[in-house]
Amino acid sequence: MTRVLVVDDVEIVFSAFTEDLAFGDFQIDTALSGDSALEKAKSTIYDIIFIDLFMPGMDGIQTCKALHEISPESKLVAFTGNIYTGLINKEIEFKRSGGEIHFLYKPFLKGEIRKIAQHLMQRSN
Amino acid sequence: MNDKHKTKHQLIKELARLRRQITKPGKPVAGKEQKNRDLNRSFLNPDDISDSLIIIDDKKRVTAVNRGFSRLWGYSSKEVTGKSFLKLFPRRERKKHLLEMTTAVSAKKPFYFETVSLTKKGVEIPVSVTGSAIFGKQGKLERFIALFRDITLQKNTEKNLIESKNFLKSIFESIPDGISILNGKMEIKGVNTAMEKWYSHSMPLVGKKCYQAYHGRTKSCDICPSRQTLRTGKPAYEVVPKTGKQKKLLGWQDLYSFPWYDSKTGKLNGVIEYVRDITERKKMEEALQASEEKFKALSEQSITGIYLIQDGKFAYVNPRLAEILGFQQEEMIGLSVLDLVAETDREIVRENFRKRLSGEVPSIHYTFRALNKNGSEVEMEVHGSSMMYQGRLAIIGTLLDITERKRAENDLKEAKEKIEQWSRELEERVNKKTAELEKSREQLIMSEKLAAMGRLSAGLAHELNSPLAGLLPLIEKYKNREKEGTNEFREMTLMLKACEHMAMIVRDFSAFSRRSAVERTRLNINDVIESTLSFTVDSLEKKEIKIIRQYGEPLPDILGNKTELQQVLINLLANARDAMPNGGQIIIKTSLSGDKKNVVMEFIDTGTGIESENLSKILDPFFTTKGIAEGTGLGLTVSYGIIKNHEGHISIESKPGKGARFIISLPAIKYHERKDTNN
Repeated sequence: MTRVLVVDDVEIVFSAFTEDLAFGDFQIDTALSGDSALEKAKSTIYDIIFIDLFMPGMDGIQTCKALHEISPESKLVAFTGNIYTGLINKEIEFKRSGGEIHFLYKPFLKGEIRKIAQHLMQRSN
Repeated sequence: MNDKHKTKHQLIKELARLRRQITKPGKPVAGKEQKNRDLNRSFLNPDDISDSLIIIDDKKRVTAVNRGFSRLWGYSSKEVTGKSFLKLFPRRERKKHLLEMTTAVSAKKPFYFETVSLTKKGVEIPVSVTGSAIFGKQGKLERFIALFRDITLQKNTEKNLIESKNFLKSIFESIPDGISILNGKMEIKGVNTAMEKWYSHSMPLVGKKCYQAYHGRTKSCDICPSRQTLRTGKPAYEVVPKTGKQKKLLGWQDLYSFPWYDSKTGKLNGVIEYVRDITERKKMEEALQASEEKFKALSEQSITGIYLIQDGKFAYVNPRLAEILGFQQEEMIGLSVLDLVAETDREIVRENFRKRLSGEVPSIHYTFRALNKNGSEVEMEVHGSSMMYQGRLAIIGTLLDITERKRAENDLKEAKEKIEQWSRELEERVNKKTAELEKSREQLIMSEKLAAMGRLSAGLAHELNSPLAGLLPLIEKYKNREKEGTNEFREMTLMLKACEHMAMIVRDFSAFSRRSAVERTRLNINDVIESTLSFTVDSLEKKEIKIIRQYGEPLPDILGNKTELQQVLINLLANARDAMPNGGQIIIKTSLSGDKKNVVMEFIDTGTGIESENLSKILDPFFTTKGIAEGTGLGLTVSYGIIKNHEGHISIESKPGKGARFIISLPAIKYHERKDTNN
């Protein structure tokens, strides 16, 4: 059983995860904001957290950093619709702070989410 | 002795004897009678005289005639006896007869004269008359006795002589030149009218010494052909002065002297001088000489070349012409003219000779190239015509060395051409610069467009990608629940396609917001092309499109994002493919730019090309000539954006039906730059 948290301010995005991860051993939680995500991470240990980089309120990278502190064992995958904006910088920025982060672009390719999820889980095993 | 051969004197003597016999008849003496008879017979028988004898009485009637009379006049004795003798002569002569007879009577002298007889037949015959009056006692006139002789022959001879003399005289006088006959002492024996006219001031001429009569000298002249002829017996000639009154020099004469031989003795009688006044001729000659000298001076001093050509050779050239062609003046005489004409112009010159000599043209003006003594070409301008020279046709004219002028003309022409060339180049540069400026302006507009689009797309992508990210898997899910062929399945498929199209637009759009965020590495552009071709070549070959690679090697690397550049190449190849629905070829050429600062890629296709009005719009976002399902109209806009982000350039050349050429240049990494850069 792999526990997955998906964080996005647009609710319909979650369906992409539920669809793509429907046929695996995944348990999917969702959060509509950074704050809400942090709350959930405090009570539950997630294997993978998928998080939108641009959200109103606490933005993706800040949330990622906070999540990394709360739950350092969680794998972080950031995604964005604005595919090329500053991703590299953010990755560098994140790596400097000692974390590891992966990236995905919206809209997702078919099977892309499952592929990265399985990949991350294999590595951790 | 026949009477005809007796002289006039003999006849008169005889007549005197006869007269004595008649007037004093001797008494017949016995013994002497026979002798006297014989004597009488010999004296008295007038019929023995062949001349005509007529005896006339004091009344001028014929009393007796002899046979000679009948022979001459044709009358018998009877016919004339007792008749007036005057009838025997033409009326015009009769007065003369009476006058002579009267004189003879009064002077008591015989008479002699010439007259004309009128014969019985009416013919006039010239006769001479010798006669005397015979007086009786107390001196009374008794009769006349006259002897007539036919002098036709003598008269004819005399007439011929006179005619002949007149003939010669008339010739002598008719000669307009002077003729003067001198004897051995140089005394004038005769002159003609011309001489008399010329020397009227020293008339009479005959009898004077020639030098005295003609020159007023007391001694013979120093130069005298006549004296020479008298000495040598041969003709001589000199030009001598013509002297007038008081030794005044009037002019000049040709003096020919011919020996005058006596036709019988063969001895030199004297000299015939034949004199011709040559004053006018001499004046003309002098004038001609002066004129010739004047023209010679003109020609010799002329700064224009002057020539006279006869039989294709120079008969005269002036010093200037010789100088132009590098010859001595004398050297040129007799030289063949065509030998001094450049080979290429010989035909022209020959033709112009012909035209002038044939009279086809009176004069001619043209230019040609002559050869000087060294064989170098000299540009010549000729003004020529033809004339008669020494009785034959000749070509004359002037020649001007226009080599310098031609050179100046050529220089001017060249300068003009150069200026025109510069002007053209300048115009081209201005045009090029204008085009570049126009292009820069367009690029600037494009850049601004792109910047605006970038800002827009960043937000747009963010706003649209999230719902699309959810919609796509959801629609997919519901579609999979429907059976194929149902309306629902079909509608779900359409929804899915619409969403995918939206996603594609958003993705392309968002390329503008990338900016400096893309990872860049050292790349060899040929490798990038090859890697792109590895997954596109199949689709091109399916469309019968041949790829021709013309890679420049070695090329410096560039700094770039391989994925982005591949995207550009895919766009270009896809466009080329779509432009060649019936196949063709794409030449992919890579090279280093002239200044070695850029690596250049060229994609040249043989497709339909681009309409000129579309050429300026081709980079505009959403511009497409394709259907909605085929493209977004963003491919080239994105490519442009990518190349721009790589600090490169993209340009397009095309004409409808002539294919298209896309040229991309990207800054080359200098060879010493070793370090790979991650922005």
